[in-house]
Amino acid sequence: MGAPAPALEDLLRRRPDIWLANRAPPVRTRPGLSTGFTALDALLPDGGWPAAGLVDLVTATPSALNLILPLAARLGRAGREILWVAPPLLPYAPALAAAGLDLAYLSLVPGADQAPWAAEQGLRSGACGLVVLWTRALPQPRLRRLQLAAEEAETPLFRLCPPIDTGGPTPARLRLEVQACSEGLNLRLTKARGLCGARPLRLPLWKP
Amino acid sequence: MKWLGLHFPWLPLEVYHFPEGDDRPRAVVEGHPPRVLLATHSARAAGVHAGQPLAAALALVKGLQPLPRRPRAETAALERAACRGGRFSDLVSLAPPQGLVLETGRSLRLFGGPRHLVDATLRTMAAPNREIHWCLAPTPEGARLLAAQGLNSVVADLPTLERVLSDLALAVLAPAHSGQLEALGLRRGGDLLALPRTGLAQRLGPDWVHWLDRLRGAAPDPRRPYRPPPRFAARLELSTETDAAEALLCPARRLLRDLCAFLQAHGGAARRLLWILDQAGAEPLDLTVNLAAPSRTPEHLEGLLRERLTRLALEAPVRALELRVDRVFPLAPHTPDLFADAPHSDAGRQHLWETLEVRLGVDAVRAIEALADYRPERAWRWCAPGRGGGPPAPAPRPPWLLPQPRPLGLVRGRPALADQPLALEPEREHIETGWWDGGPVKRDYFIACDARGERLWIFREAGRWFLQGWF
Repeated sequence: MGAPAPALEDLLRRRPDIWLANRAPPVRTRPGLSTGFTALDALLPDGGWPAAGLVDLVTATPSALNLILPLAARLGRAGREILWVAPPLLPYAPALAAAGLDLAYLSLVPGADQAPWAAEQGLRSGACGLVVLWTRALPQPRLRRLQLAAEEAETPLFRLCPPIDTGGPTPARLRLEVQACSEGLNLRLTKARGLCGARPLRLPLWKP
Repeated sequence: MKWLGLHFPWLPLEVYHFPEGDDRPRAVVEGHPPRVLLATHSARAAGVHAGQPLAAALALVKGLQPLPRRPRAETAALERAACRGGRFSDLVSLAPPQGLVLETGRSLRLFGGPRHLVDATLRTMAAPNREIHWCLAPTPEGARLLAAQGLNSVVADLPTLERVLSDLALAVLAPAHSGQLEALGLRRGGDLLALPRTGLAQRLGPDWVHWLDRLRGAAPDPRRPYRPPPRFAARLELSTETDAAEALLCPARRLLRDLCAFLQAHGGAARRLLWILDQAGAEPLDLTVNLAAPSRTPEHLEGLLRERLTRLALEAPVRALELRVDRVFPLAPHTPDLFADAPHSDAGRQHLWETLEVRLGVDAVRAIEALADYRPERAWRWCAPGRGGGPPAPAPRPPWLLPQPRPLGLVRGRPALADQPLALEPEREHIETGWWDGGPVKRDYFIACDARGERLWIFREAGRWFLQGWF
């Protein structure tokens, strides 16, 4: 048998309607929003955080916030409102200001009461460039509602949830498991469009 | 045609609020014994007419609902209409019991002629099922009288006014004396107007003749402009008591429209709305709606009320709804965004904060502010949303702070979290301050790592270790 494999590959390449599982998906809806970490941008399918929709961060460590701070800082500088709902601890103003956040554009809903509702309002208002929600387990319909609201508002919604509460499927566009490690964070992408065997990523935060 | 007269024929009924589609026969009655003043369409169709004794009307229509006349509510309704009229004239005067007159000399040109002015005025005053009669005439009294006759047209000048008045019935021009005049052989208004003044003054009294002079433009007729009161308070009686909070939205919308007209007359906006739900057999229920920024947009104010009402469980049926605004604030000037497509305007943020606060309570939405203080717990504070800011930390600080420093255990002489000793980084930050204001601290801060890799901010004070932050 000569070498039919390259010929087949050539044929397939000429067909835009056939998607090869070992390639990046051909359609890119919206360019992603850079995470501020080159290694993480390279890992994510849109080259960054999705510009719209629900992102699940499965994590037990509050340090996961550090993943979002560069984006929050950039959006705040662009005059976009940022809403944090039910943060687990007190957001510390001097540190956030030092991280580049414009605190005039950061609003907080400290209480956990009706947190998903509050996050949805943030999305539906059209005023927010980013919504971050800390929750325990949420029922599927609620999650789908949030995902839909985030898509419609063309706004990313980050849901930070402890691993124990995130069993089962998620309507999120992206699911990332985040663990603390001595240098920074260990990341594992467990759901993304076109995901195919992404390797875990060790993201150094503390030591350059 | 300097004056626009407006007449609200349904005013005595309009001060009641009926649910949409409810056309039960009703009649407003007054006097002793009570006589019908005004009947609804359904009652009229059954033969009820003005001036009929109530007893006769009740005999005619089974289930006729008699309503007492409410002169104070009617005056209030007229005043609200006058507020709205403020857009069209700087002289709006009440012409009780059911009319308004507006001086339109200057507005005519501004609105591009009488037709446009009248159209715009009627649109502004319109309400569901409201009919408005109007007349543009050279004298205020002429405008009022002819509007009340339902003329609905323009009387261009004094000679035309004279002609129109000539066609009126005697009962309109001299209601108190029409019998006497008919006995003299007069038939129409024209016969009356042709008579010499002195003779009329002797027969009908000088007051009436003076009124006639003002009507015909032969005597000056200064009108007192209506000035809106400094506060807004309006009350709507519900024709049927309701215990469904959302059923209150429809009457509330009416009150809000009036409020917004009032605010417009003042050139201002409201910041605090007090809704009072008058409950049958229970204490009135107060709902205060606070706004992040003054507003006079009815839809916006309605949305905020709806948010409150949807969560409200009424103990008793509501029989009246009241709205009060005690202070008028200057309206924040609306500067259109240079990039008009920016949906993330300040108004959008404020709207969001209000929505959240209305449901979650005052202070449910906060921002944070950094302060120049070396003590970490005093280097920040909560503030109102949108007011955040302050200097960035000069030294490494964690993005998370614990509400209270948490005491740490000791394992083999080292600070420990959950019995696991922490690994401390070599850098140490000494903070000693505050001895002068009653909050002295003398601490050594370290960054520490636990076995799982969590990065913590801890300090030692007087030999004890505390966890204060999380990186």
